Amino acid sequence: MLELHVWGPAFGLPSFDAECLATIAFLSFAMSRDEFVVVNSSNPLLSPEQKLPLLRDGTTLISSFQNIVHYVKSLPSVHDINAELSPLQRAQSIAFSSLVTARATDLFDSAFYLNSENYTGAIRPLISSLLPFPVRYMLPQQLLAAAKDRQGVAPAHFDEDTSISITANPAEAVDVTTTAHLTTAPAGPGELSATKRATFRLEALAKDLYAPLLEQLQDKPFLISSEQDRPSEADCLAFGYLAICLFSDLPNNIVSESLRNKYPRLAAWVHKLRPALLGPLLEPDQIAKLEGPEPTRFSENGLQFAASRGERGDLVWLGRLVLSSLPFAGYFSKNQKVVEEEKDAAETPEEKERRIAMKKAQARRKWVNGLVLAAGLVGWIGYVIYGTDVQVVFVDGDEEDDENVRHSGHRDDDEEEEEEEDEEDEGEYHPDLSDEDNEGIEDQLVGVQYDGDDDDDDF
Amino acid sequence: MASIDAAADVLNGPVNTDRSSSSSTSGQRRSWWPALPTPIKNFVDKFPLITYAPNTPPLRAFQPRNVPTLFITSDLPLVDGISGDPNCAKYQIYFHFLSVPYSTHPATPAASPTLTLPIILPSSTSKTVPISHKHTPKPIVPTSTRLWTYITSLNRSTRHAVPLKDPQVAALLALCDTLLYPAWCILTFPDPTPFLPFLQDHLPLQKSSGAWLGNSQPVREAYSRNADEVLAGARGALDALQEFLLNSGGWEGWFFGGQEPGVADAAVWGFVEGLMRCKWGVMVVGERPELVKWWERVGREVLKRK
Repeated sequence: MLELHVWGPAFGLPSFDAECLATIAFLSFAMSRDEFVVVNSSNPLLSPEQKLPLLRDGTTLISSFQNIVHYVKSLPSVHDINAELSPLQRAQSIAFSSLVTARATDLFDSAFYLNSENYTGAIRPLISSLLPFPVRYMLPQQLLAAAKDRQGVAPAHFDEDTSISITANPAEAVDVTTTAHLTTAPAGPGELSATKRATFRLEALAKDLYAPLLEQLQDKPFLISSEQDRPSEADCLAFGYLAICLFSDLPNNIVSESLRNKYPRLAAWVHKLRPALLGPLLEPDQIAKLEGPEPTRFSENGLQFAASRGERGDLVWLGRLVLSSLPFAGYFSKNQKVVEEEKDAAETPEEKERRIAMKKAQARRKWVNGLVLAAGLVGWIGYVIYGTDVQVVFVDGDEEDDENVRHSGHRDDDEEEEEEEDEEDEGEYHPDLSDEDNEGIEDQLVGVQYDGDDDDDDF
Repeated sequence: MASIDAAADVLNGPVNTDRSSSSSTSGQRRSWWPALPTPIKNFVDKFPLITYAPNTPPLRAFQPRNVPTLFITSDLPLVDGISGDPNCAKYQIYFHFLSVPYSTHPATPAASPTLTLPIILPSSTSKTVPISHKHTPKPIVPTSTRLWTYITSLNRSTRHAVPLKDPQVAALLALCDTLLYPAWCILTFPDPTPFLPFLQDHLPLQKSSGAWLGNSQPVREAYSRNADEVLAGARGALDALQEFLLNSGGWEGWFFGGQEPGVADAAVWGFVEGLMRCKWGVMVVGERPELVKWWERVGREVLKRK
């Protein structure tokens, strides 16, 4: 039986991740429901690419929606949902899959992560509730950082409350979908409030996603095909993303409200497909079972769910998470090797020369960075030793009470040589002499070492 | 008295380095300034104030022009004036499609408010663009539709092009951006993943002018994915593009049956042009003859390529 590992449940859906829902929908179309089980492991590190959804077929691990689709199509006795589509419809399916992915990613990043109200009020607690102890504090931050990187938001600019400037004058209006995060000035007189500005931006992004899908769907049962039994991959992806939009319950819920109120036909399409693809909404006790520490397994409308803490692998998970967050973790990726092979196979001399030059420049930059770091460290250590009054005191076991015997770390070599000569002439310890005589010699030693102190005493 | 007026002239006058000439002309003008104390006057006479004329701008500085200016990346060479960056090439060819005069200016993403290129600076005389309160044209930044809409607005005779809001056109643009652009990125630039990212971020050593695009977020994003997956996605996208073309009249037609080239044609041509600059692209695109013929035809008809 195939195991489909997904992010944990939320909003009554089997997973809070749209791509996981899309994969469940695709498997429901492509094979019988008793041939796969949905495992709510919420552990992306199970996958070699550290991504969910992950399909496990024996020892074979396949991650991401597109790869799973390609793999499942290659299995025997699997219904290829694209086989009955025409070549043009297959091309349309690829194009609309791209459209959904691109625009929904922008919307979800903005609504779930970059909107501080939703992130701190709903998303971060939701993700944390699905994760074991140490990881719950690390993974949400990593997901947030990834969303910021995708949307080009500098960390200092992260806060939706001060993230947009929209004026009432259309002539001065800027495109909110791109420049919203760049203007950080708070609202002034005549400008919209912070909450309204955030809402306005999310509405614009939601419209970018919903409007073309609604126009494409029209009265057809599916986005691409007008036949009842011919769904496509684009339908699965659109269903996954729209289901999250429709059923999500967030503090700023404009994404869901917009879909319900302004695009009811699209919302009805999701409602119509959901029972067949995901079954009824999960009850709170079922969600609690999937989120809980105990292994569980149950079936709902033919769809099999399982959750096992063993899949989460706390210690291994934590170790890999720490390793993956190290600064140089991404440096030794296998991607570079694949790309180099592709380029070597097909590259003109000019291209190769330019690429090698760029590579050399990068290597030079890394060396310079490393050298600057090393020079800085050496300089700092040298400053601490020679530039400050820090003294290292060595005390022998027999002389613990004698605090006068010190070695200053910043004295010149000449002084040390003089001192050694003086010690040879005057300060040599004679074991044959009495303790009183030796104390006299030690007093002389002190006089040599702390000449300045004696001078002070003279004053 | 004359010398006091001379001092006042020195204080008020714009440029004056000749003490004798200022003394000779000062008698004809009187100022409301009070007389300067003698020590100050002597000091000013000894060290006259000099005001230099403003420097001339550097020769490569941008000058306002009567046509819109497309700021394109300076990292890649031009062929027939067309940038090797697909995101710039597609807008350049769209200007050509609409026969709208324009100029290009090499730039780094630092010139863009959104740190992405290309951007368009409208012409100084344009009336179709938002004007700020300082009467300076604002740059138009690339979003899903904004640049297309602006360029289209410059030629109002466009009647037969496929509408930009057509979901098929939007899907095709998304296909180019999400499947072809990552492949072009990893084929054009080496992996920018830094060995010590905290150094790269905080030391000013790596800010060489030619490395902007190679270190941009799309390139990093492309390299964060599996390279096999990215290149397979590009192949699938090219198949889909050829299929769209075959259903639009083949290499002699335009995408989605338009009577004249539109946004979809410009986007596809820009990405094919970018891929054809590397041998992998020549090899893979060459396996789709209809697409290659169409790309060559556009080059011949629009750019007068041989």
